[in-house]
Amino acid sequence: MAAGVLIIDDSPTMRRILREIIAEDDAFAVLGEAADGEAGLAAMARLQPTLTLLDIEMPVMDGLALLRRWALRGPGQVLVVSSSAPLGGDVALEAMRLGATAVVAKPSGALSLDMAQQRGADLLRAARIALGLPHAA
Amino acid sequence: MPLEESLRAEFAAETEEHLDAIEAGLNAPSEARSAIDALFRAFHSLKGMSDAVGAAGMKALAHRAEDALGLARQGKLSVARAAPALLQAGDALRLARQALLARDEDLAPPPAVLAALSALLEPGQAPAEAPPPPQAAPVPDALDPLLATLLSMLVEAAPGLAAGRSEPELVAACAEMGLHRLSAQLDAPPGLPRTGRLWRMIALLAEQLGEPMPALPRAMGDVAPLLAALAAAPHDAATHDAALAGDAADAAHALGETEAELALRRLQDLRARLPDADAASALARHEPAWALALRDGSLAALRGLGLDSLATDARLPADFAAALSPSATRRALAALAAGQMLYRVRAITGGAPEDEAALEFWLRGAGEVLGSILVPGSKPPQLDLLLASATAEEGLRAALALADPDKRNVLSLVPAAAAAAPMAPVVPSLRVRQDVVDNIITLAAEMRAAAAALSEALRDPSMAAAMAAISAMEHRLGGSAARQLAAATGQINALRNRMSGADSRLGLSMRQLDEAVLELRVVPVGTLFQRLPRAVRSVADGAGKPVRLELAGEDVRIDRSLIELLADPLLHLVRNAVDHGIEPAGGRGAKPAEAVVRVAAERLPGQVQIIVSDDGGGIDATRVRRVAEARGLIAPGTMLSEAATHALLLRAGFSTRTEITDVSGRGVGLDVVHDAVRRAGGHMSIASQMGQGTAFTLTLPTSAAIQPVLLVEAGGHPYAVPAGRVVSVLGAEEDAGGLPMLALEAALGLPWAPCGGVVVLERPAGPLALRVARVTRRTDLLLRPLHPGLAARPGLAAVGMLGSGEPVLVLEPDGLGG
Repeated sequence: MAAGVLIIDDSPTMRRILREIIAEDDAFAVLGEAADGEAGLAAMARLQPTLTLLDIEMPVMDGLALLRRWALRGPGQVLVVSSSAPLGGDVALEAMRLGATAVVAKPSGALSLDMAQQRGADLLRAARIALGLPHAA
Repeated sequence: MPLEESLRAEFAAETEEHLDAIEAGLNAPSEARSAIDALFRAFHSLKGMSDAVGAAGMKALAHRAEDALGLARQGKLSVARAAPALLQAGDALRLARQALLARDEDLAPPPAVLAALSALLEPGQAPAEAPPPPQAAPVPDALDPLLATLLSMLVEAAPGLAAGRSEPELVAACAEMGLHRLSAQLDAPPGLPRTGRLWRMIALLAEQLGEPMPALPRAMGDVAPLLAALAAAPHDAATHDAALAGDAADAAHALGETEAELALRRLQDLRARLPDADAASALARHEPAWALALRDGSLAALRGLGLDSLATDARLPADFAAALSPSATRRALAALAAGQMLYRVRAITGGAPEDEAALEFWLRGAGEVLGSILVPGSKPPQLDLLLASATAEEGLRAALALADPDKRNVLSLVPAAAAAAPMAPVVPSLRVRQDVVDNIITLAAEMRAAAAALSEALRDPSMAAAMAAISAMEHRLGGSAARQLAAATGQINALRNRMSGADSRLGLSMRQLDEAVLELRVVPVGTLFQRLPRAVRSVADGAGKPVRLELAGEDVRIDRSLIELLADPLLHLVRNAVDHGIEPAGGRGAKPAEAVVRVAAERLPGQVQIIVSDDGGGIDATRVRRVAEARGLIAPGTMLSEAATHALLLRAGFSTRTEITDVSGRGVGLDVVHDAVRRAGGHMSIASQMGQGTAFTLTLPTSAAIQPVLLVEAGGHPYAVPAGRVVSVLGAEEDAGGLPMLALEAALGLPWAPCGGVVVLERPAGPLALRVARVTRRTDLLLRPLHPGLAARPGLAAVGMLGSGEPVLVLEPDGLGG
């Protein structure tokens, strides 16, 4: 059965891109989306996703604040997808301290038809590792 | 790369929303935290989306603005002070967004705006009186007394937990309260990692309840097995294991080793991101230090590793970023912020003292050398220098030419940082649908035809003849009738003058309109070049030939419709150059092993020239002749000039390769390329030198729609020859100097007519003297597509429309005669 995924990001464009990337892999199914941390927490409680893709910079409640709440409650695993958490930076380290499996950069580069293969591959790979799934063939 | 349509629409809508929010927020700047946050997020989102669609210019700009608002968030910068620069950034982003949506063009950020934003970022300029950042207040769960009880139970149980005891009651209690992750952790196998994670969770619970941070006992235990596991874990891309590093970091937390925890956390981040190129290079760079520290088996050995910032600035060249000292990195970033450029200079060291001195002298004047890397395996030793300079590239080159005229010391000088590249001034643009532009182009063409018809009507000789007849009648009539007639002709003449004046104004405006319309039709020829590097790489790799592709003149503009026509021919020529032109590896004699294929575009008046050249073996004339003889294209023993030999290559189905390679084979030869170039209204010539290489020159009209032609007459009808191909026009009696002579009537199958002039035309096979009944005039012709039935005739290139609306056939000199 496909693992349920929740996408929390304030940008509709980014949510759409993430949705398309996730759709590439049969191991995942998108359960829902939320546009800020508060709505994200509510969606997590309601949908019980196996994996949550979490943005950091968001209105109302940001990603780190959400992680602080999630750290005690769950559910599932969280993969931070953010461009405000540079490699080795404070935000990335704090996210992992709070239990996020990994931090990946937002997909970037020219988005064309092969975008999903190009940049989405890294994200899917991180998502699979987060859930302990084998690498996709 | 063009965006997918639905994504484009979403990108357009969302970016506009953010830009509007930015404008609104900055027009009434507020220092309230929520207002700053909203602005920050707007720029942040723009940055993320620009990055997602690959618009590096937009991203850089949004990033800089986001940085400024980051300072404002920390209370180090007032929004009111930053507002002007941020508004400029918003405007520039709007322009860049339009360029992206309209033309898929990524505009470079305007340097002035970047500089204004950078000025905000400089320390010391920030107002000291800014209020400290309001700390986001934790959301207390204080209302739940059960949670508070649970917290005290956990703190009480802490020493036991640290000793590895399990607490089933606490597991159940936490699950009941909805704290499922905490519950699962309490239930996890004991050990240092579990203790570290529990301590953090207990601290979080206290924070969320608004309770003071509880004192938790320091755990005891041996971390060495964890570190050994970490050292043993392979961390190549296939099997990396970030979780091990995470466990070790959690263990370090349990042991109160903050610095070691930081270092291990960084390692966890690096390993988790491993497919990422930055992470991979950072890991590789720090690998030896890590291996050493992990082998030591103690957390103390890891302390120093966490402090080294693993993140590198993307604006610095990757190889230098690793090699630069921290202070050099700071200087490099400061130079970039001040608008300086970074250059990569490859210099030869260890030469004669006077050479070194000359190099020193030039470098001192040029700017500051930030660092250097020895080029591996170079003899004599070469250094790559990173140079920061306020001087533009041309200036540096000019100074270098003086200091090192023979290129003895400096092999190359190239800009090193894309972010600081010189930028063209931004011109506002707006998005227009393609069909609207096409419609305007069509309408302009119709209007031009109408204006030309009007102009020809006004100049019609019958008008002058009619006026002469009227004035003759006036003389014959005499009396009042003559006076009335004279008054009427006077009025007509005045009107004619006004019409002539209006006509010449119209003519001028039409020419300006043509130029403006031309701007709508043309795109940089560089769009044609984009596919070439990959093609060259794949053919070169397949053939085992080291080949470098050089491109020049990408910004030369050419008609959009020609781009489509030329894409495949150009690809074919380039593949051909690699496949046929360049010698097999090892066969290049004294020439450098790496062959060069060069594609260069150049703008000539009204024309564009694209030259595809290689430094390969050149065209083997003997072989060409042998094949031509074998195929019956020429009689054995025929004397052939160089040009005539080259022209043979353009004949259908000609190929000197005996085996068909899978690259340029398949029976598609140069003749197909030649045809496409001709269809585009241009012509192609070949120059080759044995052992030195071959160059194909494609000469094309800037615009496909309007072509300058010379009008001639045969059989009572006008015909046009492309003006670019006319070498000279001779009178009927003049001597054509022994050139091959052809009567146009004969070529077209028309009855013989007396010769009224000779037009000498340029052809790849050598010039041709064309006899015609009359040479009329030069004009610009609006070309229309040729009917397929006519297109097959080799002597015809296109059909054009005269101002009178009369169609004219445009002749193709290459297809005339032999």
